[in-house]
Amino acid sequence: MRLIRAIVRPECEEGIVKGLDSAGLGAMTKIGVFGQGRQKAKTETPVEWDEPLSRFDPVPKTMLMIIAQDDAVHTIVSVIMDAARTGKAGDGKIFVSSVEEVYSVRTGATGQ
Amino acid sequence: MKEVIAIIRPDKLGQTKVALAKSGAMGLTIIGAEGRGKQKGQEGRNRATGGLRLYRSQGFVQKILLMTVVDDADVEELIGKIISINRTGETGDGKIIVCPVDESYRISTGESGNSVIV
Repeated sequence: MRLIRAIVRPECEEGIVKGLDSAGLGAMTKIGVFGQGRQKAKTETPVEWDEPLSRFDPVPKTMLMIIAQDDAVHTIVSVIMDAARTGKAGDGKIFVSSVEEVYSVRTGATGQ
Repeated sequence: MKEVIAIIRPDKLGQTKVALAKSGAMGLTIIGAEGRGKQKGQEGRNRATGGLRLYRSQGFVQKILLMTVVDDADVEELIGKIISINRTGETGDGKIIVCPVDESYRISTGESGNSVIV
């Protein structure tokens, strides 16, 4: 089992959800977050109110948390890559980390 | 040390918080989240609407995400508590995820290791 955390543009979320749905991997949790990367939240396309101050404002992002089987990780990552890529700075990051155990609250079942 | 991430129903948050505080006041981080599962967020039955099906935007349902880091020995007890409080038997009760934690630090003192989480 792996925990995939993808920090993406909020407007790309719909495409990711549709893509994962059609791959049959539609279960996920979504959190609104703020962040900045190496560019310190400077956008490549200047916004109208682009003042020096604006580069210190963290950019709103959506974090998707997905629990996946080891063999589905590659599919999920490539779906997110395709749907979230614009080629500009700020497309986001995907982190994959290990999970020891997963429990279902309703049934108490563990594992797969 | 293990990180326990629980995704639960918002209306069970109060009970869960009280129970965790009574069991030794572990640190707890609460995040509002939205989620969908195998059923794509369409709850089969909803008590508030008298059994009407709910269709939300892309099937995302309001959830609460709890994060806490505990000692290896406390994981079983914590999970048992969360499950017993949050189980309603209907779909959408949530999931609990246990992840390994390599290191943890207390920012105020700079100490690391097990003393950070007690």
